[in-house]
Amino acid sequence: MSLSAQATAKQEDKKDIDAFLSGDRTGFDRLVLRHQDGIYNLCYRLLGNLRDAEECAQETFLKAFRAIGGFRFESSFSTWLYTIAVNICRNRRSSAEHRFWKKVLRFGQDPRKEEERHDEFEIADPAPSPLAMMAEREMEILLQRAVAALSHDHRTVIVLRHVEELPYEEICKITGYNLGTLKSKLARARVLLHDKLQQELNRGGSHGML
Amino acid sequence: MECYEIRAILFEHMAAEIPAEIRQEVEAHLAVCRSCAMLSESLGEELRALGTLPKLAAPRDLLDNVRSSLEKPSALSALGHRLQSLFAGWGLFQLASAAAVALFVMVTVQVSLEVALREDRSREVMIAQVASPPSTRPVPPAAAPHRAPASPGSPSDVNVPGEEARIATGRLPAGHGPLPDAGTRTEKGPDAASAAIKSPRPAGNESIVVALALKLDGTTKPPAPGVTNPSAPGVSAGVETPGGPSEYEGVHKPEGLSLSNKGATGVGGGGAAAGRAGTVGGARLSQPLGEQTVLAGITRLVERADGKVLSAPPAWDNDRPGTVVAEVPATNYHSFVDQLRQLGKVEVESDKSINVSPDANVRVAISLNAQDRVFAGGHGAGKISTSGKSSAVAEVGSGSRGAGSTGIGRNSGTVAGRGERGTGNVGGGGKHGGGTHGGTRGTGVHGRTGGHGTSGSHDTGAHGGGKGAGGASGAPGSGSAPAGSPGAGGSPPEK
Repeated sequence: MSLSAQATAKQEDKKDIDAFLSGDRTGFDRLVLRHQDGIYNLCYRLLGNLRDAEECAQETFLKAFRAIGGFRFESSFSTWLYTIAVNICRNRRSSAEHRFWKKVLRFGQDPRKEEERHDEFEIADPAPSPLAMMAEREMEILLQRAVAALSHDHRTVIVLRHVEELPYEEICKITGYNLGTLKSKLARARVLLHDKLQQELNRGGSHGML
Repeated sequence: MECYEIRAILFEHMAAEIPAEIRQEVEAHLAVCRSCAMLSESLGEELRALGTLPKLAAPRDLLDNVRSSLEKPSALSALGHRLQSLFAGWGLFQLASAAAVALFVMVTVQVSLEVALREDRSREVMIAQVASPPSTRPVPPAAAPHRAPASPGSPSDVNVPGEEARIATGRLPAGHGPLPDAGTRTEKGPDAASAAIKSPRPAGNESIVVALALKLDGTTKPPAPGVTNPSAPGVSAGVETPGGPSEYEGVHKPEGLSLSNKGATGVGGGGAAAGRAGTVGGARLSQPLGEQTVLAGITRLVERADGKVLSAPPAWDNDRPGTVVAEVPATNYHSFVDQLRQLGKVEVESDKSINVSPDANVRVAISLNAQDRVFAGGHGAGKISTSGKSSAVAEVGSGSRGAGSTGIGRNSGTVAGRGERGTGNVGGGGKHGGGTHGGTRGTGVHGRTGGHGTSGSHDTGAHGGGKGAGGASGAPGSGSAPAGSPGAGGSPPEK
């Protein structure tokens, strides 16, 4: 998003917020429509599940609706929404329900098929890039699984930095990290993501995911 | 730079976040190192792939769901409302519980009060039954005037029925009333208690019990044999007998007569004992002239005072002159007493308290006193004086019957405890009356004292005045022996 587009988006956000705070309910509707895709996408990348992503996105807007009176425009409205969404997703991942369904999904997988697929997709020579050899859908699934394998903090910085492509400053506002901590966590998260991707490629790529 | 150094900064190199000179070194290494170059390409591809991940579009109904969620209460608020309703229910429950507790307390208190009132009423009924003047039996006078309590339920006015019975028993032998047979004497207590027991009456119909002792003119009657001290003191407690102190050793102190009711306790018994002793000892009264007309005279005086006679002895009996119980209007009481003095010497317990409303009645218990001459100086008296310890008592019990009772009076007068013990030691029954209750009950004491005195007198009567005296004097301990022994033998009184 260009700077002018970002500036325009900020102005529109401010106008809609003021309208909502002055009693215009449609102002909040416009805010939701403007940011719902980004919040939903973030939730999906952080949670790896469409249903959870929808629920968390919805919950994010509900929280924003109740707390918008305390919004001071110290950051962009989208950054504020991302902050809410990240926290909601963190809580969702740590919830007992999420852990339960995660176990159920893993329990349904057939280890023998995974072994067969592992042999089938084993790449002796990874050069130049294993992802380049995958179809787009397979690559997406592989990346999603690798991201989902990360811890919440590493996943969050990876998603915010390389998926949502947010600048460092905004990520610092969302996560609360300072810049040094963010870069350190981001570097570590990249290495871990690479290792996860290699593990996934060695296990057979996206065939063993679902 | 080595490979591990290059791999450590590959991401920064890709992000162009490293200085230019280091970046040149990294690129030079990647140009010659195929492994690091492939890794760098792989990492770059991964990061680019992350950036190319498809941007998912939010569900179309997301906004509608948000709206609907905003319209309906949230789970938290629903929980809050649920908790509020729950707490509200608890509040109602607590309120209901508090109300139930309060109701329970009220009911409990009410029931307790009703029970207490019922007990009081039953007690009052018993007291009233005891206190009501008997129709066929003479009532002994009270040792002191008793005013009907203004409040029926006041604690000081309510006594345990059993105690009242004892009081009544005690009054009988005091010497004014007829002495029953030894075996039945104590059972006639209730009659004697009529004057001593207060019975609540409604306001406007207040009744005061006043004990009078009417002494017939002793000078007109021949002294009975064995009577040595016709002027023995003590018709009533606190009243100094006209004759002053008796010449008997133990009787001499008039102040003893004014001693406390405690003293009266022991004395009562002693008095009765003395009187009885006199009787048993052979002292007999000659029939006094005109005494038969006394009852009729009293009756006329009562009627003249607009009163009525409630009970009177059926016939004159020297041994048991009896008591006339009458009720006269308070306004006519004093004139009635004045006229009564024309018949003889009237000893009034105390009528100073007769200051009641005009429509009140005064119940007068007129103890017909056959004068000291009758039983005067029974052995009991002598004994008593011997003991020397018994004092006070004199008051009622003795009065009518003579010195013996006076002597006994001394005993009690000394100390309540003595009278008590003394009575107990000697008189047997007197022990209870005098000792236990004497000290504490005041007027009531008299009754009790008398009652037990009766018992004591019973013994005394059997053995003579000496015994009675012993009972009275026995209190100190030493007195009992000398008193008892002569009394038992019915020996003549000692001087």
